[in-house]
Amino acid sequence: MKRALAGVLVAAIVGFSAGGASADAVPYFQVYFDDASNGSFGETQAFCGEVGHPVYLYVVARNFESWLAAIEYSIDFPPGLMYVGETINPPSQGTMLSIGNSDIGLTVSWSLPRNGFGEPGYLVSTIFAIWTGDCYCQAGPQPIVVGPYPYPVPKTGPSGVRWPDLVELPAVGMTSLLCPGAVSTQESTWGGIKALYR
Amino acid sequence: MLKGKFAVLSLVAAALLCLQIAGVDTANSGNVDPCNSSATSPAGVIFACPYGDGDALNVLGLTISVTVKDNVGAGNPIPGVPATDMWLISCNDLLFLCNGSSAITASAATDVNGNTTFTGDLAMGGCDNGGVRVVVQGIVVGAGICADPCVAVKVRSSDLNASGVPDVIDFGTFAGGYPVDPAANDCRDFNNDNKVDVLDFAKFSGHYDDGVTLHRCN
Repeated sequence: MKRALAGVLVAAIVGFSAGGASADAVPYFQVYFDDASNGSFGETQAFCGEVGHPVYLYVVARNFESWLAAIEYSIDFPPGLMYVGETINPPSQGTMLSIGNSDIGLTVSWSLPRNGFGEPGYLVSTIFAIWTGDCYCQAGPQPIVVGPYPYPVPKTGPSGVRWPDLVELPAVGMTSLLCPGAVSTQESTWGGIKALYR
Repeated sequence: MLKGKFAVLSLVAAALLCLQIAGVDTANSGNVDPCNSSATSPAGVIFACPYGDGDALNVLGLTISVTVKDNVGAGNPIPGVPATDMWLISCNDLLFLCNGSSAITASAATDVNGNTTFTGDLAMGGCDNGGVRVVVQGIVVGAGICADPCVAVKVRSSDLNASGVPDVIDFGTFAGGYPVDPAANDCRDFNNDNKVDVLDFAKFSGHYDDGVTLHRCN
């Protein structure tokens, strides 16, 4: 009986893993940090930096597995980061047109399609931000969420436009974190806390 | 004997008369009549680019059917009108026709019934939600109604200001107030989904003239 249950459990885990693999194929946008300070994107989690110091963030489109004619998204920045500006990745050929910015909602389209296939994904924009100091990790992680282009009617998430048939591909807006692995808390009484020091 | 010859001659004359009458059916004056002729199409929107690489009418199911008739009575079909003698113009004079009447011509000369079609793309700039008119040898025809010869094919182009070049001025126009939802008869709603959104932006950028990748009249 125990072996049978264990078998079912293993099968369930394998099934869950397979489900995870297919979820990986869903197009998504995510914000990355330059954790190695080498000008390229790396981790999706970071601790807050020194107040007033700059930080570069990278917005990357992944898993579209098609040529891209346009993309649109917005980013909800946490209090610990202040958006200052950005450089939208210029294409080596053709023209790029953009409306808005990542903070309020950005839509970018290209005269020649961009490569949305494979790894490491397509770097859409490099954002220049500043640490504000409003970053209390004791309060828990601060999410940096990629969301939909907000005007005039918000969609459910960011999206890309497939080339050449110009079909909209819905994508998932992923969440990156400031203050990863924040200190966990538990409720206690004042007497209980005093008891720790007896 | 003489009677027989008369009879034969009478038969020959009758036959000739019949042939003549039959001949009248296929003859025409050659003068295109705007009321007897007609041009019709399903209603819709087509995206045009001055470069001539916009959407094709037939791909969107907007083929314009034309019947060319003369001015005799109810009209006789005029076959053999050259394709280049038939073109489209703007109903409200809002379109920039690249190379004039060459912006789009009929797909073929008129057949024996005076019929032909427009199936290709429109090398045009501007926007006209009022439709287009078919011109045959300089005469506007359409819908079989003399007073309203507009065909309900709305034309929208990346060259929004009808300058012949979809350039930064057009981008400024496109981006103004972007996006729009709902958007009825907005000249930027290229795919006619009643919204001006990222799909239209993608279309615009694909037909934007940056001076290197040309999308102007050629």
